[in-house]
Amino acid sequence: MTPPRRFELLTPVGVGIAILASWQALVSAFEVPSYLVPGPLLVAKTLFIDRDVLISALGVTLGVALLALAASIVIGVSLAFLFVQSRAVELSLFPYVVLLQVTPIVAIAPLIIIWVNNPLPALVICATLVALFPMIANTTLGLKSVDPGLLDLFRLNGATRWQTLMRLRVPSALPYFFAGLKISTGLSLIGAVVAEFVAGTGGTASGLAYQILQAGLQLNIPRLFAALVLITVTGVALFAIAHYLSWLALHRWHESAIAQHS
Amino acid sequence: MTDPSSAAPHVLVSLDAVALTYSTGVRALSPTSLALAAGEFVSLIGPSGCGKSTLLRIAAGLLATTEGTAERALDASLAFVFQSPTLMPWADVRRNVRLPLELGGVVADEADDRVDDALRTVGLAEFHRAFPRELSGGMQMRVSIARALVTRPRLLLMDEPFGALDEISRGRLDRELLSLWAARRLTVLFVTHSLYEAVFLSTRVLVMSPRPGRITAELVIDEPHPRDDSFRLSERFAHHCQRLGLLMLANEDSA
Repeated sequence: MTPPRRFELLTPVGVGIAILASWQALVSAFEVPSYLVPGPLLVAKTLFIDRDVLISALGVTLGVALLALAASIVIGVSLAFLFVQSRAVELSLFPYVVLLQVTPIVAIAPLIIIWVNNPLPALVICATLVALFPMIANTTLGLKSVDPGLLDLFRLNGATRWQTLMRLRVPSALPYFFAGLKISTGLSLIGAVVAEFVAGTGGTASGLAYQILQAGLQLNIPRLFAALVLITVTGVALFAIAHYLSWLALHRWHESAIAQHS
Repeated sequence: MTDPSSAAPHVLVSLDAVALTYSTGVRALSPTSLALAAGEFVSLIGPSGCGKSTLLRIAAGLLATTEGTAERALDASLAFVFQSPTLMPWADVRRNVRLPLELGGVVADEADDRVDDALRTVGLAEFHRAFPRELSGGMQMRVSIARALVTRPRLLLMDEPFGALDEISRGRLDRELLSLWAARRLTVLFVTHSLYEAVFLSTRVLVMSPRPGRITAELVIDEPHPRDDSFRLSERFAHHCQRLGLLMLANEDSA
């Protein structure tokens, strides 16, 4: 068990180091100006020097993303519950859920920013629109993916609708819910960044996207890269947290989370 | 109203000319009748797809008939054992067995005692914290049986419960089921496609024709209980199997 795991961890890290090293080597060897492509060392240095500005910008973006994620979970799960309770509700609402999903956020974000005067709620709404669909679709699918034998068992024992929902449908839906959550965490961050981009420099809060825009305009490419690194690392961290929560909930019983013994 | 001392047996389940045709027009079951008296162990045997499970589900009230009437005595509390163990994978053995009691609102202390009792009965007391995936197929089936026993039903409906098990596990579970049936005075309706299993277990075997099935013959296995492996090896056993085999073959020819 241990050797392959160490191997699993070492190889991607090794590849990462190799890429960073050759990137730095190429930039130094060809004396690429930092306003075109900064080397990783310079990016790291900028990250350190500009840490106050960047960290507070990250705080804004992360706040928007997390609020949007929370809203997606609450709204998505509620709608999914509604959909499995009534086929009529599902049939009449689901097409609009799809509509929501296929509408490009960049196209409607300006509208939302105009309609909602307050920048923070406007950004949260945009990011929520991006992150919502996987929560609805996956949770609905999960609540329906119930072993028909268990459904019979519940019926035979006179289970109420509520008991069937809480004791059978909800646990059955957990693997699907977490699969949706892993997608939605990433999307909420992307949604937050995209919304900030659209809101632009027009007086909205100063998140990481704003820093990227500013840095781009000022040809401060190292800072642009540093902000980019922060966004990426945050995205990976959010995904890792979602993955861990999923593991916590499922590892005792679900195939997807059980360690492979081979 | 009924005089308990009367000779007429107490009928727990009575199916009168029940038939089922799906809305697609497919006929799953031809009109067939069946009466199950208290204390009987009745097996339904027939080829795959003949409607054995359908008949069982009608008896359980899980399926509505399109013709005929299905009645169950008021005191015929029932439990159903499915073809597969049908356990909740997210719950340990204990919580699986406890489920019917929780759904039925049995108080916690009482439920705990009954769960312990049911787990001891199937020999899984020390596995109560295991998860279903950690158990073998035979052990999962035992959990399923414990879950059926925990409500102390009078009537046990079983849909090919041991069909997926190896011959050795199946033989052992058959024996255990018989001693449960005797000890708890259960009434069992048992679906199987194994002629040997039907003969070994039953007081009466009902033979079904191919789809759309109906009961075409009845064989009373008039042998004393308790039965053990010496019965399996006896000439009487072979004799019953042969008769049952002939009844089943007759259906093949007419189909």
